[in-house]
Amino acid sequence: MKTWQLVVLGVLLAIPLAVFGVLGTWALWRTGSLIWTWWIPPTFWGLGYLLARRWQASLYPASRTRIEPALHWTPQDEEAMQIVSRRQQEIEEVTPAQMTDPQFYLKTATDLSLEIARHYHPNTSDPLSSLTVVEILAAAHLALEDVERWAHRSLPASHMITVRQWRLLGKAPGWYRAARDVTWLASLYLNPANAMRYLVTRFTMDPFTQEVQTGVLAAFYSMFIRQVGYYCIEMNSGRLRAGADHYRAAMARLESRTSTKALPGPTAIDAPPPEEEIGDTSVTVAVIGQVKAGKSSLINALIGENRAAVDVLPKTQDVEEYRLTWPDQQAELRLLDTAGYADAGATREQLRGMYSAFERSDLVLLVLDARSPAREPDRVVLETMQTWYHERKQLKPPPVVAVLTHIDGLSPVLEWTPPYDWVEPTTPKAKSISEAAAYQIELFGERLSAVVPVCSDAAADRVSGVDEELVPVMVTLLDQARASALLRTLHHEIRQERLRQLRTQALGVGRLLLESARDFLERELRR
Amino acid sequence: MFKTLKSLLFHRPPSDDQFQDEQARLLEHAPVPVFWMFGKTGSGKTSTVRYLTGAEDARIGSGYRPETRHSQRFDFPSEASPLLRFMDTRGLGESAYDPDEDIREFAQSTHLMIVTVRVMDHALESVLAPLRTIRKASPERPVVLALTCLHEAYPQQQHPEVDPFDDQLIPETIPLDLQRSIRKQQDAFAGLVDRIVPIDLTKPEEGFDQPEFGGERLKQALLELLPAAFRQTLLQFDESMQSLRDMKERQAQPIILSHSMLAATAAAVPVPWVDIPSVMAIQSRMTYKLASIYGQSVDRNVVLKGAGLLGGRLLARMLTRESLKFIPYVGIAANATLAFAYTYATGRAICWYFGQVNSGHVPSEEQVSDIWREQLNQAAKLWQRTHETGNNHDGNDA
Repeated sequence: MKTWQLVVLGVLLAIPLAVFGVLGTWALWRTGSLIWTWWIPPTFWGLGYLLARRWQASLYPASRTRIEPALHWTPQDEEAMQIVSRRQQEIEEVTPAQMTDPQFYLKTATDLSLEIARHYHPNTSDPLSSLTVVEILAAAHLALEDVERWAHRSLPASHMITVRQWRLLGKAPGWYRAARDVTWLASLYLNPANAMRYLVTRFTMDPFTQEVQTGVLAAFYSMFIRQVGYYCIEMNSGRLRAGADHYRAAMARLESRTSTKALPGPTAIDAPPPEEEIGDTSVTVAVIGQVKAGKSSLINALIGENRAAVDVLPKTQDVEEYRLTWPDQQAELRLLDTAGYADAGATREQLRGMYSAFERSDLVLLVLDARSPAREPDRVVLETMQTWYHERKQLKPPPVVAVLTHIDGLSPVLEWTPPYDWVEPTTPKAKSISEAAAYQIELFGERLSAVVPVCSDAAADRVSGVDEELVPVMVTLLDQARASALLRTLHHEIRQERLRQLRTQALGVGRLLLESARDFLERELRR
Repeated sequence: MFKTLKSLLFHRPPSDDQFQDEQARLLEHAPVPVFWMFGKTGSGKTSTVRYLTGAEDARIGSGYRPETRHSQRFDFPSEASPLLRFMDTRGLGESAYDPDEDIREFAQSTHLMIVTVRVMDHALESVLAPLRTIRKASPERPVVLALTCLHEAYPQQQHPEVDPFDDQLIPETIPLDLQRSIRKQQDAFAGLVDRIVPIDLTKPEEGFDQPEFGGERLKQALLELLPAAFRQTLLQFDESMQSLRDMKERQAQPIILSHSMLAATAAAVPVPWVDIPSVMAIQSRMTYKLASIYGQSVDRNVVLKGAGLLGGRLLARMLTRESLKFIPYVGIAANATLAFAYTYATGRAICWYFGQVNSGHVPSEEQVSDIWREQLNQAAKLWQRTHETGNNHDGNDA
C-alpha cells in the first residue's frame, strides 16, 4: 500500500473521532442529539475498510501468485499449468490449522509433483521414477530460493517472523468470513438498505488485523503452490537435467535478450555461417513456401540487398543461409532460404532440406503468393510441422508468420500506389488485400501468429510492407522465437553434457582397465 | 398416334412431367458440348467460362451443381435446355484429388478438357499428377492447355498492342522471363496436351485495354479440337452472338439457341408426327423464358399471341414438313433444319416484339411476320454455315 493511501485511510479514521471528540460529544449529549448521530463512526470506518480491501491487491501481489505461462513453455507445459491453477483454487477448502503446518506443505508438494509427473509420463505406473536425482534436487533448490526471495521482499518484517509467530497467524479463522463477505455484497447490491445493517454489525466489530492475517497466509499458500508447480513443470520437461545453476544461467540469457523493444534498422553482415556455438541465442528464421511464392525476393527485401538468387523459374535448390542483425534489438537472425514445395520436379533431398530448415527454426515465415488461392501444399507442410513438434513435446513450436507476397498483382491488377491500409480498407485494391489476408486467417486460423501482406519485387522497385509491417511483427515475436531457441539449445546442451560425462566415465573405466592390465603384465613379467 | 394427333389438333403442350421425360430423352441426343475445366483455384477457370458463355461470375458460381465427389457441373444457359456444359474439378491444390471417379464418369460424356494454368506458376504437382492418369485413361479426348494471367510476367503493364501469340507460341518479342516460363510449361505438359494457348481474360475493373486478350485464339482452338458433332453448337453460339449488342438480346440468345437445338434434336426422330407436340412445347417454354427476360407478364394469351401469332402458318408448314420424313435420311436432315430454323426465328421475333413493346410501341401483326420471315432466312443460313464449317473442320482434321 502506498503512503498516500495509508494517509487517506488514516484521515478517514480520524474524521469521526475529531467530530465526536473535539467538537460535538458534549454538545450532542447536552442537546440529546446523540441518538441520531450514532451512525457516523461506523460509516466512515466501513468506508475505510472497503478501501483497504480494495487496495490490498498491491500488498499481496496477486499477479505474482497467479501463474502466467512462461515465454519458453511448450503447449504441454501450458496444460500442466492448468493442474497447478486448480490446486491454487483449492485454497478455499484449506483450514488455517493446515496452513501453518509444515507437514501439510510437504504433502501438498508431493501430491502436486506426482500429478504433474503423471501428466508428462501418462503411461508409466511410477511417473517419478524416470526423473534423475539431480533434477529433483534442482527443482527443490530453485523453488525454495524463490519463496525465500519473495518472503524477504513482500512480507513486512518477514526476516523476524519465528515459527511460533507464524503459527499464531492461523488462529484467525478468516476463510469462511471471506465467503460471507461475498454474500453480503450481493445482498447489498439487491437492497442498498442492507448496507446500514451490514456496516454496523460487521465492520465495527472486526479489527483490520484479521484481514491482514488471512491475506498473508493465503498469499503464502498460493505462492508456494505456484513455485512448486512451476519447477515441477520445469523438472518434468527435462530442462533441469543439467542442474539448477545451468538452468538459471539459461533463463538469465533469455531474460537479458528479451528486454529491448525499439525498432531495428536492418543491417546485413557478411559472414560465413559459423558453427552452432553453445549458448548462441541468435534466432533462426526458416523462410518456407510453395515454389515461386517469392521466398528469395522476400529475403532480399529483408536484408536490403540483392543477394538471394531470384528467377522466374524455380531456383533455390538447397537451404541457403543469410545473416541479418538488428543492433537495436541486439538480435542476430539467420534467414534460411529453402527450396519451394508443390513443384512436380522437386527432389526428395530438396524437401528434406526444407523440413530440416523448419526443424531448427525459431520463427517461420510462411510465404504465400497472394494471387493463387491454392493452399493445400501449405496446409500439408504446416500439418507436418505440427506433428513433428507434437512428437517432441519438450520443444516449443516456433511462431508462424504468413507473408502474403505479390499483393501488387491483386485486383485491380494495374493499380499500384502503396501504402494501402488493408486493416480498414477503403479502395478496391486495399479491399482485395484485406480479403486475401482474411482468407489465409480463415484457412489456417490460430496456427498463424500474424498475416502480413507485402510486395517484395525489388527489381521493379516495388517493395512495400517489409520494413513497415513485417519487421515490426517479427520484432514482437522475437521473444517467443528466442524462447524456442533457448529450449532447443538447452536440450542440446543437456544432451552434450550427458555425452561428455558418459565419455569421461567411459575413459575413466578404460584407464582403470588399462592400468590393471599393465599391473598384471608387469607382475607376470617380473615373475 | 391418336394421342399425338389429339394434342396436335388442340395445340396443347404436354404436361410438365411429360415434357420433363421428353426433354431428358432429347438431351441425351442433343449436341451439347461438354468441357472439362481442370486447374487450380485461381488459375482462371471461371474467367474462361465467363468468356465462353458471357454469363456473369456470380451466375456461374451459383450455377454449379455437384456432379461427382470432386467435380461440379454448370449448364449454360440453364439445366433444362443447355447449350454448353462445363464440368469443373474443384480442389486441385486444395485437397488431395483422386481422379478415378471423374475418369469413369466423364469417360463418354466430356468432349474436351481445358487445363488452366497461370503462366508463371510452377507449383503444379497437384495438376500434373492427375492429368497424367486422365490422359492415359482417355488419350483420344482433346486437351487444351490455357496459359493464363500473362500479365503476371509484365506486372503493371498493358498487354502488347499487337497480339504476338497468334503466329507462334513463344514469340521473341515478349519478355525473356515469359519466354522461359512458357518453355518450362511446354516441357512440363509435353505429351499431356494437344494445344497450348496463352490467354489473359480479365475483368474490366482490372484496367486492361484488352480484357479478352487471346480469347479468340482459345475459341478457335476449341472449335478445331471439338468433335465435329458438337462443334456446330459452339459455332452457332459464337456467330449469332457477334452481331448482338443489346444486353437483353445477348441474354436471350443462348436461350433461343439452346431451344432451337433441342427442337432440331426432337425433329431428328425418324417417325412423322411424333415431334410436332415436342417442338411446340419447346417453343412455348422458350417464350415463357424470353418473356421473363423482357419483364413481360407471361399469361397464356401472350404466349399464344407470341408463338401462336405465327401458329396457323407454322402448323401448316410443319404438317407439310412432316411428310418429308417418309423419305428417309434426306427427310430427317431437312426436318431438323426446319425445326431449328422455325424455333430460332420464332424466338428472335418474340424478342423483337417484346423489345418494341418495352420501348412503348406495339408492332402490328404484319411487322412481326416480316421479322419472323427475315429471321427464318437468317436461321437457315446460320444452320447451313455452321454445319458446313463443321464439316470443313472435319476435313482439316482428317
